[in-house]
Amino acid sequence: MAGRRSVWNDPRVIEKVLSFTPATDEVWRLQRHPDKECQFFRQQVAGRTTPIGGSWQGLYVFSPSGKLLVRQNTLQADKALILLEKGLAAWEALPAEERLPIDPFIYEPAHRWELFYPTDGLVLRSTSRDLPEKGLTSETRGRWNRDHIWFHHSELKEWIPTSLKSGQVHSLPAELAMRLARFHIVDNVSGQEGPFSPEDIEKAEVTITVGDCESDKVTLLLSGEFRSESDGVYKLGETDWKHFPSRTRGVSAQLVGIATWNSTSLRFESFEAAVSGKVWGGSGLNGRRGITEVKPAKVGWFLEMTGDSPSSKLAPAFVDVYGADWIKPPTP
Amino acid sequence: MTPLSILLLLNLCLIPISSGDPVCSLEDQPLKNWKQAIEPGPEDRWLTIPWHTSLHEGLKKAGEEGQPLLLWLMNGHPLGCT
Repeated sequence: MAGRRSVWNDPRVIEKVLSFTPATDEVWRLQRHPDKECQFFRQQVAGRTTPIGGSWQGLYVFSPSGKLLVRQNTLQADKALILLEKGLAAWEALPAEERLPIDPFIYEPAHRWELFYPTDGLVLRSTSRDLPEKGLTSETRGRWNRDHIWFHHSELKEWIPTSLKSGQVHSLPAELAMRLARFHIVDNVSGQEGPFSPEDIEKAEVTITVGDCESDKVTLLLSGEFRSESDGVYKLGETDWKHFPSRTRGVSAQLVGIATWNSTSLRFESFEAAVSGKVWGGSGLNGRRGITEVKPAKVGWFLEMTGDSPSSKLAPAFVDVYGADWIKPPTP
Repeated sequence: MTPLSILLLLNLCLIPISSGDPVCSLEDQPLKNWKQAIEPGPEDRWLTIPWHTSLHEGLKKAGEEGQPLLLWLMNGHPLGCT
């Protein structure tokens, strides 16, 4: 995560990237899953298609045929620049026939979670950030992270009161409130955190109140409370998260937001919510050593609808354990 | 709706919910302040790089552009939750 700023914010690196086609991806899946795209990656970097252990995070330069030219894992811009220079030199030294692309069929995936992107549903971008204990100030630019929250088109009605009269109050069904609590009101600010299990959720409540109704635009006011606490024992069965370091941890948070529902198109036109929380404990990867329930850290989340950029269509980190019937796992 | 939820809603929405321009607040700060404080800003220049979001899309595009592929891999997607 530190590389986002230490490497990719460097103007020299940004300029050098212009000589490449830049891409990003998640490496755990590429290292371990049976999909054709993952097997192709392993063949190119390790010379075999079977799963590879250890950490293969880092920067890679490939020819369009998938020939690995250079790779290194670094958080230093100077080292990244050297790697990019080496990659370009290796590329320029390739004979013309080795610069040609291969048939994408060879590496195109059969399954990615993005295939289940809920077009016409509600997709929220969640940004989390460390905040000072005293709350928002002009200096509140701590560490941050990002995730996406998916609700299928068929789930939108669950957000809307049956009567769209001002003052009407409605509770988000437990299944969807639990989705927020278990997978999204988590402390991922400085590194991935594991999902909460259902048993960990002490409170997950979201209340929706109808505000103004002008023509077919209905203002919805949102409020919510979340409290989750894990004993550090993993309870979700055979998932990728089984291998994640798990420790005692918890979150206590409040949500406030506002959304506009279009009662003709049956779509959200806008959705913004802020969440303020106290977090404690951790996974071992989220940098919360010494942060206890007695002396928790303060975290803010901001949720809003995404745009159409490719990155806005990335799947939620915990999509594989959402448990929604419209999201299909890879076939064995 | 629990009594606590009603209390929260009344406390958190500063003006009547029938107002034409409702502004909700959390800890006495309007939503726009939370957005400004939490969302990435101009200091996050790396977000301006036109990243493709998968190995296969990047490789395919590299072939179309006749350029080498620069691939940044992390545990957790670098443009998502990592």
